[in-house]
Amino acid sequence: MITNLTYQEALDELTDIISRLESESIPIDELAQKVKRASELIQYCQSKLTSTDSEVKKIISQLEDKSDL
Amino acid sequence: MQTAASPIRLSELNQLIQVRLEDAFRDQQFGVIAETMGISHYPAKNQCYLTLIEKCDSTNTVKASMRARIWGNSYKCIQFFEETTGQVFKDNIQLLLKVKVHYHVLYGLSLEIEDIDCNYTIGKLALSKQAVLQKLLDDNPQHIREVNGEYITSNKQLKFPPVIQHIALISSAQADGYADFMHELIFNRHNYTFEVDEYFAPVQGVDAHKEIYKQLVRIYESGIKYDAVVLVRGGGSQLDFQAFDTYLLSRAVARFPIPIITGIGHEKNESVCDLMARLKTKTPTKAAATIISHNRSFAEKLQYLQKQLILKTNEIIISQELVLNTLRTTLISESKDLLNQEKQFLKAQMNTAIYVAAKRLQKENVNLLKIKFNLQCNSENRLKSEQFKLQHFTNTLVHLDPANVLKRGYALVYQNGRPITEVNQVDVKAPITTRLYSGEIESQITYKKKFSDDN
Repeated sequence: MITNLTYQEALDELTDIISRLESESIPIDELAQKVKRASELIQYCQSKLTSTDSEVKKIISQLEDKSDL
Repeated sequence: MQTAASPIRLSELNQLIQVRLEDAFRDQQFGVIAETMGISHYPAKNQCYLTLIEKCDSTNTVKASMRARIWGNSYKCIQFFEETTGQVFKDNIQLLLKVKVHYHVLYGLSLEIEDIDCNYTIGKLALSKQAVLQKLLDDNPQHIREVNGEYITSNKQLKFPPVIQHIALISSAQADGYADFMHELIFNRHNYTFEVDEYFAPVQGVDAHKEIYKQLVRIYESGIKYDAVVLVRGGGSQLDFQAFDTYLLSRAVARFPIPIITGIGHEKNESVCDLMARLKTKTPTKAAATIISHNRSFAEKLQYLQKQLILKTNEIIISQELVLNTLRTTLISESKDLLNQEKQFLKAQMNTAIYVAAKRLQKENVNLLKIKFNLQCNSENRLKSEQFKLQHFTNTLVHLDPANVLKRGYALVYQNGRPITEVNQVDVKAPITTRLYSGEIESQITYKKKFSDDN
C-alpha cells in the first residue's frame, strides 16, 4: 500500500499531515493514526533515500571506474 | 653545334657560364613581374629565399620559375613593402620586383631582388584567385556570400556533430599528408577511436581537382552520414596548390552537405577551398589534432556533466535527508504538543466540570431547603385555615338547626304530614298542624290569601 507511493507522493502526504498537525486541524480521534501514518511515511522516504543513495554511489563508482580507463 | 676539344670540369663550365652571364647582365636591373612561392626568411642573417614563378593566364599552369633571394641591405625592403602596402610578404602574391641576374658556380642561377615595387601590390595570382572567388560569389548566391571580407558558405554553416568519428578522408595514398594525418589521428593520447573511409585521389597534377571532385561525388553518393570529410595533402612542392584554387572544386566544397575540414597547405598557403570549407587547418597534422581536440572538448563536457551529476545527486539526497529530518522533528514535537494541549484542555474541562457540578449541587440543595420550608409553612397554614373553616361551618350549622329557629318564635306548618311552603299547596278543607318549639296546634283554615309577588 505505502510501497505503491513514489517518493514525492509520500513526501507530499507527509508534509500535508505535518502541516495539518501544525494548524491543529487533525481531530484527536485521528491523531494516533495520523502520527503512525506519518512515521511510516518518514521511514519509507528514508529507506527510499538510503537505497537511492547507495544505488547512486554504486553507479557513480562504476562511472568513475570507467572514466579512469 | 660545337663540341669542346677536350672535356672540362663542371666547375669550369659553370665559370664559363658565369663569365658569359656577367657579360650579358652586368649591372643591368630588370623590373620583373612574378609571383612568390616558398618564401623562407632568415631575419638573423638578413636573408630571404624564395621562388619566383609565372603562371599561364588561361590554364593556370606554371610556365616560368626562378629561384631568388633578398639579402643584405635589400632585406629591409620586405619590411618597407609590408608597412607601405599592408600586404604581408607571402606566397602566392604577384609582385613587381627590381632584380639582377646572379649566377653562382655552386648554387646556380638565381635572381637577386634589390627592391619590391609597392605600387604593384596585388599580384596576378591573387587576382586570379580573386576572379575564382568572384565567380563563386556571382554564380552561387544561395551557397556563397561575402560578409566583411569573410566567405559564408553552405558548408561553413554546417555544424559538426559533438563527436567526429566517422570520417571520409580524401588524400593521395602516397602523400606525406595522408600518413601525417592518419598517424596523428590513430595514435592520439586519449585513445579515441575513429572510423576512416579512404577516398584516394591524386592531389597534385593537372587533373587533381577533377579527381578530388570525383571523390567528393563518391562520398555524396555513398549516402553514408559521415561526421566530416577531411581533405588533406601535404609536403610536396610549394608550387602545386592549383587544384585547390579551381572553381570546380571550390564550388563543390562550398556546397557540400557534410562539413569539410581542409589540411592542404603548409603554413604559408591559403587556397580558395580553404576559404569555402567548414574548417580550415594549415596542415594534415593540424587537421587531425583539431578533430581530436574537438572530441576532447566533448569528453571534457561529459566529464563536467558527470561531476555535476554526482554533485547534484548528492545535493539532492542530502537536502532530502534534511527535509525528512525536519519533518520527523516537527512530527514528534507537533504531535506531543497537540497531545499536551489536549490534555491541558481536558484538565481544564474537568476542573470546570467539577466546579460547575458542585455549584449546581449547592444550588439544588438551597432550592430543596426552600421548598421544604415552604412546604412546612404552607401545610401549617392550610391546616389552620381548614380548622377555621370547619369551625365556621359548625357555627353555621348550629344557627341553622330548626329547633333553634323555633325557639326564636318561628313555626312550621304541616298539612297531611307535609310541610307547607306555598299558599297554593294548601287544601282549605283539611286541618293544618302548626308546630312550635314547645308543642303543636291543630287548626281549621277559614281564609286563604296569596300575597302578590310585589310583597
